[in-house]
Amino acid sequence: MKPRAFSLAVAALGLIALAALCAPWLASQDPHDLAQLSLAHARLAPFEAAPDGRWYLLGTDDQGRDMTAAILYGLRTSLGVGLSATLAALAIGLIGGLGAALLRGWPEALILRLVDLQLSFPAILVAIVLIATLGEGTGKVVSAVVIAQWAYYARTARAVARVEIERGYVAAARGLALPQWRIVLFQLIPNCLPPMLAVATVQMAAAISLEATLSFLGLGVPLTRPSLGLLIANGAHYVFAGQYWMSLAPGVALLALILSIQCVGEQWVERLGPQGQP
Amino acid sequence: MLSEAAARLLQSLLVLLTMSAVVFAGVYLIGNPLDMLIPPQASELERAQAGHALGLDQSLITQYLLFLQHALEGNLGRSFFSNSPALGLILDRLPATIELALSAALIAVGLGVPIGIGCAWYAQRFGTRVLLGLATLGFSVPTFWVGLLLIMLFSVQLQWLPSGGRDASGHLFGIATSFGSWRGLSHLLLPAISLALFKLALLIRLTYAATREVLQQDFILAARARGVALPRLLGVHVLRNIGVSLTQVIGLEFGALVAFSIVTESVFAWPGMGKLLIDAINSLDRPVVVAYLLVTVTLFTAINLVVDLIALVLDPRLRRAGLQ
Amino acid sequence: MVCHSMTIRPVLGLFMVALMLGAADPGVALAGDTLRIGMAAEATTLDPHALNIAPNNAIGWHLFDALTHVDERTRLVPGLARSWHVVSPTEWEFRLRDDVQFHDGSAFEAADVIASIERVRRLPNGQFSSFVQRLIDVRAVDRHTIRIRTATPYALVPLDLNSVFIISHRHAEAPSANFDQGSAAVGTGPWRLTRFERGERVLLDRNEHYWGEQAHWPRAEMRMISGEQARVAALLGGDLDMIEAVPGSAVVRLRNDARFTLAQTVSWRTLFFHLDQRAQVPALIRRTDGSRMAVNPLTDRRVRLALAAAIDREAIIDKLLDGTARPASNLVAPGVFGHDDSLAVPRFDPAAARRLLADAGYRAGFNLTVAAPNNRYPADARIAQAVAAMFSRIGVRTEVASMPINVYLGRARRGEFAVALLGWGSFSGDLALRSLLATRDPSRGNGTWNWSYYHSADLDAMIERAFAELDPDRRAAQVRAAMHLAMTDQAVIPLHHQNALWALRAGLRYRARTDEFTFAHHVTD
Repeated sequence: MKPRAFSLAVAALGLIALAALCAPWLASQDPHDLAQLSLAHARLAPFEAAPDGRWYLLGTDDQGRDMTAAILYGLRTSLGVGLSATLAALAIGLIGGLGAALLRGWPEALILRLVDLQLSFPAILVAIVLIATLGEGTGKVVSAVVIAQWAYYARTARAVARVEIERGYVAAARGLALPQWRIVLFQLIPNCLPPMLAVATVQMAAAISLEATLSFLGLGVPLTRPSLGLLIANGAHYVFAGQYWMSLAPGVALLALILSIQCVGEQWVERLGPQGQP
Repeated sequence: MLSEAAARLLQSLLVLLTMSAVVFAGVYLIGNPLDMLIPPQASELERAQAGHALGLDQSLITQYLLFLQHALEGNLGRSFFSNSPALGLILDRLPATIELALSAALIAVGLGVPIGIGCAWYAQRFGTRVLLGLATLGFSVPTFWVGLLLIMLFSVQLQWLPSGGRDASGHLFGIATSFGSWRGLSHLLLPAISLALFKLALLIRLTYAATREVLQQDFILAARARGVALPRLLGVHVLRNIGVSLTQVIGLEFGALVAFSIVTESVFAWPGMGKLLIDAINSLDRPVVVAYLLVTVTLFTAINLVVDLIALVLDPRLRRAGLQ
Repeated sequence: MVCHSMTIRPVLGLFMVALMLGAADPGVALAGDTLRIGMAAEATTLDPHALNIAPNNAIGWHLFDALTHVDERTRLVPGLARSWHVVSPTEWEFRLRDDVQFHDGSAFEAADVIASIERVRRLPNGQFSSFVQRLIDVRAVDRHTIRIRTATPYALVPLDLNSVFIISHRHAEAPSANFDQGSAAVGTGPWRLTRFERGERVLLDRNEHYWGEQAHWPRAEMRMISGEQARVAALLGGDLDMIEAVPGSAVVRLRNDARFTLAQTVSWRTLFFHLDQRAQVPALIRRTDGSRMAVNPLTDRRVRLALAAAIDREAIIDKLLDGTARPASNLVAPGVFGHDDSLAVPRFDPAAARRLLADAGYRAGFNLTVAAPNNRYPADARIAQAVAAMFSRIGVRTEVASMPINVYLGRARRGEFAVALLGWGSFSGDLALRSLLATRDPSRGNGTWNWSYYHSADLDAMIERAFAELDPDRRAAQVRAAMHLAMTDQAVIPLHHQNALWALRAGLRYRARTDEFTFAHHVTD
């Protein structure tokens, strides 16, 4: 219905992604390089001058990081975690869902029970137990998110594949003795992907939010490579010191990121119509 | 239908078993509880003695089998740290978490459903767009951040509400609960709102979409033509038709509320099960972690069952077809 | 669904009625005469002989006493024992107070001491047994005198007995659950137990017949709020009268707010870095190109000195702790037995650090990972990050591995870290040196926390001599000398001594304690 809202959301998301991609050229420093940080510049308010006269647009954090740079790089981490987790979960879900639809019998029952289990068991709980077990690290956060989310894709993939298989033309393809992999590759996957991508946009927002929450609980990405969630959690230490900017600015950035992904995803789902709804 | 229920029960039991094994091994892998338990000054001998007393000197497999054996007798083990039964610790904290999840659900349903219906009825108004936009915003804000902002605003700046902690000194129907006194309610309000926000957004959206669909249908058009009053039209005709799917969503989301209370409880120092879980993970109190997961899985299974039953009662078509 | 709006009203009405009828719980008194304290960590059980962890001991000191007490400056003072003296090198006599009664009104006698020591010895999972291990015989001379024998001359008997809470002999057989639920939690302490709500709060009533200084408040509520921000918010919002373990970041705000006041002192806890000095090169130390090194650079004293000189302690204390610590030159806090006042805090001098590195043959620097917990000490992982940045600026490219303390301790114990942050609280320098820097010898309990794998025959001999020395002055001199040796060799890198910090409603006062304990009976107005 609202082409304007859609293009606006796409534009916002594109802008954010571009900013994250170009972070090394936009940022005044590499916030991951500890040698560039100095406590002499720590906890400066926006525009407040350091002893050497330097000032920062969004202030600095407790290690002397330029908040602007930290947020740009944090966007990268958050987007990176969101994207890679989403892609991995989508791939696993696609394989699982298609497998269930094609193989039927006990493999399907097994996969369905796993999906049920996963869906009845909230993602955050899975992730907490996993990270606590595996230890921290970006890769581990990604795997925790994947394990928490693959089931949504598997369910969608299976549902769509079932419909497609029931339809005449898969049977027709079988009648023509086309090999199974051709049916999967050229019939099933192209039909499954659009609704799954719609699910993906919604789930990606959830993935980024989950990563932020894990980081807040101290179970997330490494301290020296802060994501937006970790920046918020770090900054939250200093709200009582009146230094709101350390948590507020990354919070707003996280909000903008998730909001734009949500909007794009929703509009997309709406365009696909009822058939595409997860 | 009975065999279906039996099969589901069996599957749930298998799930429980697998879960217990995974968690058992997982917590074993994190670290050695003795590191958290033994005072730094203790000698190696004392360490060994303590390990022996807790059965930690046996192999993981033996420990697990012993656990299973005790679990069958209804004993989920004793907390390493408080020297009391783990299940008891969890059940002690269960009311606090249920209170929190229930109030969050009440807020979400009580506000979300009417707002959603209203938005669908007045779909073209500007206010509707603002409300739906806000709902998307509610989707996007991480729970912990909302919690922090609420504390800063209402507890520290305005000082209207306490920043956390639970006050169950009042009684309602003879039960000590936060619902029993104004003080108790005031402690509950902020955490409940923070936990409810996400679900509120979800319910507004779902109700909106479902109502829009219902409003297009013939019987509504007919009712409108007959001149049925608006409150009755929305409150009865529409609500009854969106009721089934909403109940299912609400049921499923209640489980998620219980789980997400982990975050809310740590932000607001709410002494529920979630906080107990985080503390237990931090101190490697394995019996408590395992017991927590078993209790929550049981809870989720029960909720799902109740939801199915409610759907059965609400929807005559399902009643005829049996439980799917 | 139809009857939704009809049912809801009666239910709501019932609810309101119940709310109005809801009688006030007798256990919870009006706010006015109750002191409400926010505690940072949760007491897991009220059994005073079960777990030797600070939060449990803190509550223990409210309900129970020991024969000897420790004052706010960590000096040993009389408790339930009026006095004590050495009868022979292996025998001590303790004179007990005869004016003490338990909360249930029964008189305190020698039999209670003997029963308590026995319970400590026998309790399954009990963690205080090391404090009574050396007491081979405890007997009553009369109702208010006991004699204690040790196998060998042992000077620390009175100090060890500070860790043995005295319970009534009537409850010597009680399981832990009876203490939690209250029936056995009968002590001689300044407070009686009203109710223990695990994970939430402990409610206390003043012991009107306390033998010592009476508590100022009729009631106290010790509320467990582990989140530091939640704790501060509860104080700011007026839900609490006092909180312990105030985070540094809230100090300025609280200081500038006339409604609150602060109490602080240097705590007994020292933060320092262990440096793995084994010949085998730690996996977390690499050449700048990522290849393995042939020699562990940390075995070179000049490298250790360089790292120590690279750290700007004042900046860390100023920016990350808001001034709530003081730079450390020793392994124990100032005023603690064995603290060597002549040692200077390592001077922050990056240029000198670079020169030292070059002298040692590491002009190009090397790569290093510093390990730290992220939920144990104030600003722990943030401090490690700042130190990593400081190391990086003298050419030692440093990363940080931070993790929850539960994972951290296990890995540190297995020797996985090259440079590892640790905080240590000790009443006595010789005990600290024995645990932290004596050559590792598990059978004798030496070097159990020597993550540096430091080995010095000289230091071992000095610690050994100090333990055998019975004359307090000579022993103090020996401990100071041992401390001097370890610190000038830069066996570890001391960072700072934390401040123990409390915030109170304006008008209240607290005697800040070095051992960080929060005692409701030491709060006055």
